Amino acid sequence: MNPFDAFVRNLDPATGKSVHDASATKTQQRIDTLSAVFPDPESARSAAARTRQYVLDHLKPLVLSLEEQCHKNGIVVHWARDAKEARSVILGLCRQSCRPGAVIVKAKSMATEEIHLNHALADAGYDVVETDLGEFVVQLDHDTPSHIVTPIIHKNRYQVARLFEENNIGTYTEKPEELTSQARRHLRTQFRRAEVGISGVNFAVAETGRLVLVENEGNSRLSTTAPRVHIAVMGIEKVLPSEADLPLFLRLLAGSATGQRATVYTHFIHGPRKPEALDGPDEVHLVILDNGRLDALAGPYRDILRCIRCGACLNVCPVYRQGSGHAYGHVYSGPLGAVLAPALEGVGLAAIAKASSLCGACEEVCPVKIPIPELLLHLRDQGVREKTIVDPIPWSGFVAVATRAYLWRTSLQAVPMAKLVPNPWSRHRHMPRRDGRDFRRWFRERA
Amino acid sequence: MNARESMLSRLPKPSQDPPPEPFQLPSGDLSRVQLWSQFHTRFSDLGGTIVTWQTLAGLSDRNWIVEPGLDVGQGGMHVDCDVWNASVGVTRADLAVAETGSLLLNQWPFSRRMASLAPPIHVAVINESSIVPTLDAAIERLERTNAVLVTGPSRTADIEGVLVRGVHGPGELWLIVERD
Ligand code: SF4
Repeated sequence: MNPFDAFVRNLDPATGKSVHDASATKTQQRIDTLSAVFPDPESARSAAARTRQYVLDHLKPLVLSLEEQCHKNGIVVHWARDAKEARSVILGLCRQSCRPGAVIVKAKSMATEEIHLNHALADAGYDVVETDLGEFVVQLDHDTPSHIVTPIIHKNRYQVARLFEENNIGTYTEKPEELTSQARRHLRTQFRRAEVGISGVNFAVAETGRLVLVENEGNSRLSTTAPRVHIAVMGIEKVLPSEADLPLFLRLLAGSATGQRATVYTHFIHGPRKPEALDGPDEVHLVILDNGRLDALAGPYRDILRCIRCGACLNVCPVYRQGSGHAYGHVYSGPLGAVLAPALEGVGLAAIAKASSLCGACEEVCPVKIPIPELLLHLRDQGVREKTIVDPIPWSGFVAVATRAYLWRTSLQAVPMAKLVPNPWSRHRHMPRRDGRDFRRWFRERA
Repeated sequence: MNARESMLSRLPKPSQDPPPEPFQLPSGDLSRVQLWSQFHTRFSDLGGTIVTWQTLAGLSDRNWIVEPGLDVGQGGMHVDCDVWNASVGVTRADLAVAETGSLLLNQWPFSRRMASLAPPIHVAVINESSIVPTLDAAIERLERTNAVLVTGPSRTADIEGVLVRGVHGPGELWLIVERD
């Protein structure tokens, strides 16, 4: 059995229901909002696809301009070829700013999940604290996020309550409001102590060097405002050409991700505090990450780099809804992950491209019109050719018999057709019962 | 080769095509009164409240943090310097956006970024003339400074999709609109 099926089979029913229901609600909210915001949502998606495609085709001048503008604004730019290099750049910056034992607060960021930053910082002795409510729960539970936008979609309130009780965050309560305020109180002390804040980036504007971060809770603002040092980590493809491109993308991201017209906070970071300013970080660093993106850019799956990480394709995917993100076995899950993971890390991961029914719902909701089903098919094909996808059912014998008329005829004389289908296929499926006479004989005798 | 050079060397040479025209929503021709009414609907749907200076007088026994230069007009209140202990933060807002019910807060050197963020109640003060129809118009007016667009009180739906206000930022967002 492939790992996806095995995972789904063992999934606890409560988790399955949480994931399924929440995904369905978000899908509906997305439709309502986007059709209220845009007179013609289709043309908005086409425009966004064009702009993101332009970015991929012009990444070099755009990234150079971003670097130059950041430099002017006082943001220090760093480059990292892979996860290891990114970790060592970030660790180096932390070591310059504070001693081991210091608190480092983190705002939700898929790029830092991707490079497994938390472990590296913890191994170096830092007290790393995830501050997004969902990510905080995931960290306490030594779990991993199961959705790129709503990390604990797979957990219910009882699980969170027990976890908070065990970790002395607060007394057991089944009210989400109280659980939230327990987390707020606990994390406040961490924000006050934190020396470094680490975040991702949603969009970086090449024209002005502005970094744009969106969120609903306020933890990202706190992480990038309260500590003395802010380190932002972005995948190299997250650039937009100009500030005038922002409104479309902000609307599409908020609408597609959570069905909002705008996220609660859209943070436009221009640089570190001015000497006379009352607050804000003294240093702002931007780490530009490759980690497989430039390989992907040169390969057949480059369209996936248009992605703005809205999560709509996860919410709408019937396979994701059955399994939750963990089934994919990678930080990036759902239809997005099924393409992005192998595109970044190589076709060795192509087997997760099989976790799709190719129903096409993902392409229909994608705000940047990524042809996900087409990319999945291509990946499967490549996976089979390069033998990284191994079909668990040995069909070769069946194919050999079924494609040679004389063999097929003789075999059918010996056994009914059902017996020719390989055993693993029929183990989990019901073969239709044969009813009546042999078709060939009937056909012959019909005349 | 260092990381920068090796990454740049792998980026293909681009074509000379001009970038696609940025997509804009039509700004419409609503009057200022109509814009405020649209703003008001969105702002209150999100959980924001429009208040007056009198409302604030009722909170005079709390710890306040007030952006420098803002005259809150009430004598005798305790204006605490430690932003983490304040219950009420008062700041300016530079723009209201009718489309989304958002407030744009530029962060000037004299601004106190934490005042709109740390206390449980954030009170923003805005001029009646500072309203724009769309996000496009608001972003056009971004200055060369840090800024934040605030759209309603802080919220989360991480636990079972239940909406909870005030998770890290202020759970209450109040707005005072001043006549020009
Ligand atoms: S692939 Fe499209 S729908 Fe999926 S997360 Fe990315 S932008 Fe959203």
